[in-house]
Amino acid sequence: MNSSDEILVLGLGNEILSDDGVGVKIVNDLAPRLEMPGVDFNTSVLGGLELLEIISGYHTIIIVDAIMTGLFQPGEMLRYSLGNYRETLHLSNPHDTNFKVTLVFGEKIGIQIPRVIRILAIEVEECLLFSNSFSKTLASKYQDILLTTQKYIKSIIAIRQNKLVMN
Amino acid sequence: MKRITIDPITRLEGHGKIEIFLKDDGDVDNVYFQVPELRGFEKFCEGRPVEELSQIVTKICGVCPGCHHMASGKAADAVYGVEPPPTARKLRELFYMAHFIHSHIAHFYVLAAPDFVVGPTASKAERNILGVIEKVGVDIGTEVMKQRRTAQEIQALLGGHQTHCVMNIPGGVRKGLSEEERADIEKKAKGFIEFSKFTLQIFDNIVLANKDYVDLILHGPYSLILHSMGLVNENNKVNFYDGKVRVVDTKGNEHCKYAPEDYREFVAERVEPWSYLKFPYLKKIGWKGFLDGQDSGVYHATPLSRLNAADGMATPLAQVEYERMYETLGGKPVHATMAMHWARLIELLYSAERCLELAQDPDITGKELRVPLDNIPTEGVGIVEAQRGTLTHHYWTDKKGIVTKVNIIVGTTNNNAAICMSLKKAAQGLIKKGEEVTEGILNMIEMAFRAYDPCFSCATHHLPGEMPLIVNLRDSKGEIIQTIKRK
Repeated sequence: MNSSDEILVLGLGNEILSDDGVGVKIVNDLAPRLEMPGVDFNTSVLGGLELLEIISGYHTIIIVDAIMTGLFQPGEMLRYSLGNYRETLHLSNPHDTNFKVTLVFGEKIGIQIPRVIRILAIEVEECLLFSNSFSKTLASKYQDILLTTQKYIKSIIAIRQNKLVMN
Repeated sequence: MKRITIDPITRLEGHGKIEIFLKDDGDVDNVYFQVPELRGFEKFCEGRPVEELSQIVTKICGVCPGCHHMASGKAADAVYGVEPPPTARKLRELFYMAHFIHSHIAHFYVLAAPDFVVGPTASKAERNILGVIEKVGVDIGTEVMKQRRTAQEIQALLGGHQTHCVMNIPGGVRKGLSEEERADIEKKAKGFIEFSKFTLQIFDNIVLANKDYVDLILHGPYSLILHSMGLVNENNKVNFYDGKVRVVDTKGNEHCKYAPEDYREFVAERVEPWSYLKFPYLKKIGWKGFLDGQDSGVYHATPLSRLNAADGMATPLAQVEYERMYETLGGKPVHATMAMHWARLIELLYSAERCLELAQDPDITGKELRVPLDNIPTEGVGIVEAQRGTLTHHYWTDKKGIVTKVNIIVGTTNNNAAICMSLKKAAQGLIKKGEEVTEGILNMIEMAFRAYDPCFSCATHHLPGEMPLIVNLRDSKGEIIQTIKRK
């Protein structure tokens, strides 16, 4: 069980499936830049029940994952929470449960579910081709995506840490 | 002609769908199950040292990474012409039993049980793991997570990582097991056995005690008369890690039994223009179309087929359950698709018993973990039973061990034709002229492929299951007359 005061930044995706692994790369790249007490970084390829043990006990989780809506330009960053939830590529696991059921199930069996859940979804264009490189479109925008993501994650961390100081 | 489409919409691209075509009179004409294929894995592997592949293949799929790791490790052994020492071989199998336990628990409680515990036609909102614990108790949910976690701990200990395992190297494994670690696994294995027995009891109480469910298994639209494939040991008992592939025909007679390196003499793959996935069939019979029966070349490779193809289980408690299943269902072989759920639980018990046997084996803490690689690498095949079917990895290398070619037949791919046929049979049995196609009916059609525990993450990237679905009913002009959305 993790400390309830901690924040988890979690990257989801498959690193060898083109754009699919953008969330994993972002979190791996940001971990050394944002290293600070009370903030953990982790990655996973699966959602659903696999996530329960990873996220349990944290107060806040920030999930970075790929999404493919076809409604936005590749590289565009979309922000979701449970209030305006939308499926990203890995939050749910077709082999067990979807993300929302996972959270309710966790609560019912006594697992401490994070109180704040933020989802950063990066629109992608290629996730069926085995490659450890992004598509050209996403590769050309990656540094901008990284900076935008970094700013957003820092803002979430700051909000949480300010609340802890005030308490 | 009317068309019904069951179409997961999570991905704009890369999703699978089920197309059901109706005749003008309202009966089902045909069913097509289509899934997109991940591209370029063979190319991705070419040019890499063969010893790297066992780590790369764990990233094909997050659902069955341990299966690919084992098949790949065995293929790399064969490329170098070596056999791992007994300790290494048993450590691999011990890891693999934990992998099976983890996967089979998830399938039963999260994917299969909702259909039976909550009911096949219950609303989507209830028909999930939440509905299951509502009916059978929250404590079971806690225990499911505990047993899954315990199995993962064993995989992480032996494999170096619970998902991206690194244990296998050509000729053996990277690390051994201490006495303290062995004792811990032994204790955990005893817990697995108790939980497996408990799970079989739940199956008894909820499924076998319900006459409607037994009728559904035996007489519902879920039976296919197919040949059965499975890996067996030297006594023709079920084995997941090693042995020869045995196929019995629809009457239970041995059709063939072959060593991994001979697989291409017995299995061929057919390409259909409407599907990205290939359709393996028995080469000596030939492709006769999407037909079941003794003359068909279609086979299945599932928990049920493994039990059909074997003469029994290699552990005592599983053997008792094996005999009970065949006695209850009318003898071998069983062709009821829904009996796969029962067979899977018998396999769960076998995995738990075998886990304990291996944890108590004096060799398991041995110090000889690998053999030297003195041969020039060439070509090798590794076969294991994945949870979802027989998994074949075939590698070719140059003299330096650099991969020049790869062929993989994924567990679920073996069942591609069988899944299509099961869906068609279920649809034909459940969709009736003039009656509304309800969500409950669609779920009962989906149950036909859910029984196979398909994993298209390996050969593709997605499968219908918990995912949102859209169902369109189209009239003979192609216009939508009914839409059902599930989110």
